[in-house]
Amino acid sequence: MSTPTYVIVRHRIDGGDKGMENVNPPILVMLSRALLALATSALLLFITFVVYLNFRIAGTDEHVAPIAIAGKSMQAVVGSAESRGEALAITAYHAEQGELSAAAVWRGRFQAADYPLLAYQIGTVFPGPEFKLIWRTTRDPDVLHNTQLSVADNELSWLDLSRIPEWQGTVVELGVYAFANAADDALSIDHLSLETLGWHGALASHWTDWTAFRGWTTRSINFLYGTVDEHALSPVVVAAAWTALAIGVLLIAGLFAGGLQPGALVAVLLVPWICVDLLWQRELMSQLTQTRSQFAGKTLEQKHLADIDGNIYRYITRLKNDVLPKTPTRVIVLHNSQGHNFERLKAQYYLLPHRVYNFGRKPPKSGLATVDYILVLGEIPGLEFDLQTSKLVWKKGKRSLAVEQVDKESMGALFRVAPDRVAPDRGAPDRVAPDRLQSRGVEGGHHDDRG
Amino acid sequence: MIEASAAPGLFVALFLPWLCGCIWVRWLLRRTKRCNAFIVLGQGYFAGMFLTTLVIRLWDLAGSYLNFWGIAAVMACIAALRVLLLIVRTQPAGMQSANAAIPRWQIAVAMLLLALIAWRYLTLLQELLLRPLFAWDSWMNWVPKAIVWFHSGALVNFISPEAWLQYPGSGAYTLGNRQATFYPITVPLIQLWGMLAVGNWDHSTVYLPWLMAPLALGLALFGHLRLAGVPFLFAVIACYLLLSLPYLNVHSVLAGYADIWVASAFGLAVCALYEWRQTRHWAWGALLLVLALFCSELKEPGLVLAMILVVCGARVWFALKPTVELALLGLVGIVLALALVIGIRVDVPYLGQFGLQGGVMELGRLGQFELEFHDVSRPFLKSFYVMINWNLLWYLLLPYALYRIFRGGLTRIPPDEVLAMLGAIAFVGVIFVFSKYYVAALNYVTLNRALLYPVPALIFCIFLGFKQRVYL
Repeated sequence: MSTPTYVIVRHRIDGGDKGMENVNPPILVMLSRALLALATSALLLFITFVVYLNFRIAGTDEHVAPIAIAGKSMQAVVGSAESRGEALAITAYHAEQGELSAAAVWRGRFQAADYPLLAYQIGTVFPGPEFKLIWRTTRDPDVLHNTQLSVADNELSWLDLSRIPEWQGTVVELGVYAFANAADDALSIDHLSLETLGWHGALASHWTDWTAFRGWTTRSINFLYGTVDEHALSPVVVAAAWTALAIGVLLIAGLFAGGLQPGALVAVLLVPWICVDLLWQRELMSQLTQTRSQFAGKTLEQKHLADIDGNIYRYITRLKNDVLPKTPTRVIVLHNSQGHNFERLKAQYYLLPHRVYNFGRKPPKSGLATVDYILVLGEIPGLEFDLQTSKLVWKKGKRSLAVEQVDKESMGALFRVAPDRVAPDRGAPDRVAPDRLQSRGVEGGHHDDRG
Repeated sequence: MIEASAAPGLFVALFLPWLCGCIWVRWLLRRTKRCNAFIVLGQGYFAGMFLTTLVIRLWDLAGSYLNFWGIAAVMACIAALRVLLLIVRTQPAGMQSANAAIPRWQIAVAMLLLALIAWRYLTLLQELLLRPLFAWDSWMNWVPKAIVWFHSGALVNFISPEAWLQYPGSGAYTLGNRQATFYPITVPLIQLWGMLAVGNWDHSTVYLPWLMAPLALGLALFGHLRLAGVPFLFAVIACYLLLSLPYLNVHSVLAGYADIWVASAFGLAVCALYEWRQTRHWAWGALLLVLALFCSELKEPGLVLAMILVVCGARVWFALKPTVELALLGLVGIVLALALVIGIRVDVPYLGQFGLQGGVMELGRLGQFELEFHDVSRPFLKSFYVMINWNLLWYLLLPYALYRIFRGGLTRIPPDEVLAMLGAIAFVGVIFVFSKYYVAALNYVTLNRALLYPVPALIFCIFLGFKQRVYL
């Protein structure tokens, strides 16, 4: 038998331990050409941007004075606040239905069209509360308009208001609304500044769009905008334009100076990619900071309680620990939803390893003989528990099922299917006898698999 | 962090499959005389993970209670068997080294790119370990099976909701998403392996393979490109481009989906297909088939991807003349045209029914698709050219593809690895343009996940264009 050969590619570093003097001079030429092409391209892009901006603001009054609103000149309308230097510090949030919120407004009068840019600085411990800009206009004073403000780490941020359709008319009230995660979330509004459109402010608003914290959402696994919202200018488009122009510059330069250098071309392609990559890395680092503040140093249970589904985890874990049997049992989950619903599916996930059937708003029309428990998550219109008869009743009383309520709280209610109504032999035909159940069938067994 | 007592299990779970896979991939490929350590490490990881899932299945089939250390012992025995054979065979393995002079500046650029990759994956690692399971389909479709098996100590059945309601026994489960009940079980088995190792169904370390998979993919990509003769720096750039893709990163850090595995298995199979075409050595053919099987066992679309791989592999095997191929293509075209008119249906063992009738296409376990045109160009273009999902990949692809087409001639049939990659892209396109799944493209729910499948293969094929040329 012949000896098989195993090939290893061993990389030999050219140049040994010699110093930078061994760097091939054409490499430096190549690199400098690439950087020059990228710089020229960036300059061309900037000039195009400024020209476009001038075209966009043509006809507007350039001499409108900016409106600088110091935090201390605002007043709290939700929660409470106090002035600290030039800033307004929120001292207490208003608690209602589990939401912690605070709002402070400035009252004045100006034309929205005169001020397409907002500069703002809001101090918090990142990631802090979620902020919205709020305003009222004379046209519809009862409507509180709002738009998302970016969560930046106490940095000056910019917002291009001109892309918000509701930013028009005469504004008479302007402010900040905050939704806090905890009662002690620090928040101080340093200042808001309404400005006319200039190249610096316009560029800064794009930078805010690209760098502001977005955070994971349940849709992050499907797509990534790379900006605060889908209407913002994409950094990918800008990077592509930058690359294309730089390649053009390289090609033109090549016509006059010894042809196109492939190495320079590679560098011109790679540098914009790395820039977009660094933006993405910045987003990941912001996310990590937020994740650390949310989960670091916590046990598994504490992490779940601190997560977005903490209320579901707490409820289901309590049921598993205190109410349901320790061995897996059969549970039907009912919820007032159609299709894939976060709350009901998360409930099923945390109920595991119990055997869960998780469809419909009402009990299914067959198969109840094998079911031990019914978990009703939240309120379901048309499904009620009759305490006197100890029955789940639906279809305006035409259908019912004998059950025993074993737990109830704001998240839902757990019922044990009445033992005397369940056939001892699970292999036997369905012998649960909810009144008229078998003869009339049951609505609510709708199965929806969308998602 | 996990308890100290679980640390050895975690270490074994992470590295034993990798070691076992490397040992056997090395055994397989060393006879081809075309192999390198990066390929062994990269391909070995996926081979090892696939092997682990097969051993778990066999263990359960034998009726034994699922036990981590028992299964690990089997894996260790499989690895040891090869080592034993090596000792029995006293002939030393022949070694051949290929020296390639790499300029210092290229090393410097490579180090910069590797540093960026290291920074990225260290960030992802922290995020993965800190955050409880987050991604929707993970906890809805994939992980529940693993949790049930972890608690019951056996691979108990998952059945349809209707069957569950009528099921008299206590051993069956159903999921909240009815289709997911019948998804292939390899991904839940990977999760189960981690759960058994740390003795906990609810720990982030269970999902570390989602971070290791792209790194192993990167190693294999580098190894295959170097083996193909692509210059060092280009191979490193290819790895950087792949591993820095935001959408790939998201599937690592929001772990638990099957897509990163499908993309990796398909990408590596295309690499094996290239070597199979180059050498026609059975070992590469065998690896191609193993990866195609892995693909089919990961997710339902993997079945079609596996068929594409097998067809391209068969094309290499038969090496038909272009005229014969054209005749065959013509024949297939006629059959398809007839099928559209009169209908056709074929029963394929293991894969299911395939057919075309009355504007309805049937694709095995994937189900039926009513063929109707839907304009999904907007989400495609937005995903390619506006969102940050793919960085600048699709921008760079466009001029590159045009360059290759005009340089290579419009009439020449692309090589098999390119055909496989194009086949996967065409598959994704057909599904979203002509089937009911166009909705999932319009709302971006599955568009990018499906586009992820051909991306590693795409990057491999692009960079193959730089082989054996002095560019820098």
